[in-house]
Amino acid sequence: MFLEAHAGRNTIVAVPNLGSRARRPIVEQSTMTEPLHELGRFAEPSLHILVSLSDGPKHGYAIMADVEAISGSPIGPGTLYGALARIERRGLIEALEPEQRRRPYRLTALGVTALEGQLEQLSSFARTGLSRLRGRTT
Amino acid sequence: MSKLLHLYPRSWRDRYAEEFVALLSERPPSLADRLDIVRGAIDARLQPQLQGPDRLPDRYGFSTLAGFGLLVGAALIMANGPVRYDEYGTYREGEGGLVFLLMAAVLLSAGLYRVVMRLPAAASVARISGWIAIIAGPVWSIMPWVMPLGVLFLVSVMLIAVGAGRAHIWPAWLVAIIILLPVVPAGLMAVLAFLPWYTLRVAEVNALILLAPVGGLWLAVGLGLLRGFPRPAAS
Repeated sequence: MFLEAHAGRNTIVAVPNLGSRARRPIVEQSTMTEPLHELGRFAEPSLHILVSLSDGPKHGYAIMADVEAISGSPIGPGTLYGALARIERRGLIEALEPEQRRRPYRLTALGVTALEGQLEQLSSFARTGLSRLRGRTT
Repeated sequence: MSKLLHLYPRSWRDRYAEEFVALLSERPPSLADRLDIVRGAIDARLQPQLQGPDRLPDRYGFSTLAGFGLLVGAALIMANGPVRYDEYGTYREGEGGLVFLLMAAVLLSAGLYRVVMRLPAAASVARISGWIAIIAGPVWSIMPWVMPLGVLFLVSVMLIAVGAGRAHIWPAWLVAIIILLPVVPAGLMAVLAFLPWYTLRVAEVNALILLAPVGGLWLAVGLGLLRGFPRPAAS
């Protein structure tokens, strides 16, 4: 797993390792992020969903609205449920009893741990990048 | 919107359709959302982890479906080959399509191989028939005028379908389709096998129409693979 920063839309996201082994020492691999790194194009929406659920259970529409608010980019219904299905099967979230036809989801303990690990890695990565930028001689 | 939902596999719909519809009722989908739903449906069909606990789709089905394209290409090339004359009359030279026909047959054989390997050991007749079909198909494709070979191939495919149905790999409707598709072509070939070899040439157009259902085998086997195999029990 390697983390890369995406400057677009003011977000920093986790993506699968695309680089060489030489890049790995910058951020240590964590087993806590294992469930996300293999999600391909669903890695970013999955992270957004986990962050959205970090302050409590939400149903599909509330997640969509929240993700758009926190990331600045909308998430389509097909992508939302593709990501929900994946992280649910990985045990990072769980479905609650439906309220009318809407079914809320919440983070599991594994999901909380995975999200913490993911965000700490991103934070460490961002700090490394910022400190290098500030120490750069022009 | 319900039409778009039906693009998703049944197992997915069983699990998510109700809340998905609720979501769309709260936020009517834009064109971009509809495209995203189509993309999500394709993804749900391709990803085993989204298919529910019961089946694992075999993506090789796409190759078998591509074989159908090659088969159509071969038919078009053969139907538009140069006209030749001999003592039995005129005919179209179809050798140009044989390569495509062979490739199509190889792709179908590979698809059948995927099925045969999933058949239980007890389904010995179906397994033996499978190996016969896997070999007979490509051989028949390079000499399609040898009718007994064609009959052997088609009957073998029917027996694979029966075995796959009995092993609950394929549903009854798919088995029925694979059995019914080659019935008329196999019967026609069986009759032609006892007639002079140039009979097919004399009745070329009608015979080709009767043989056309054989092409449905590529579609049926391809879709059967994409539908998936029963997921092995966890150890």
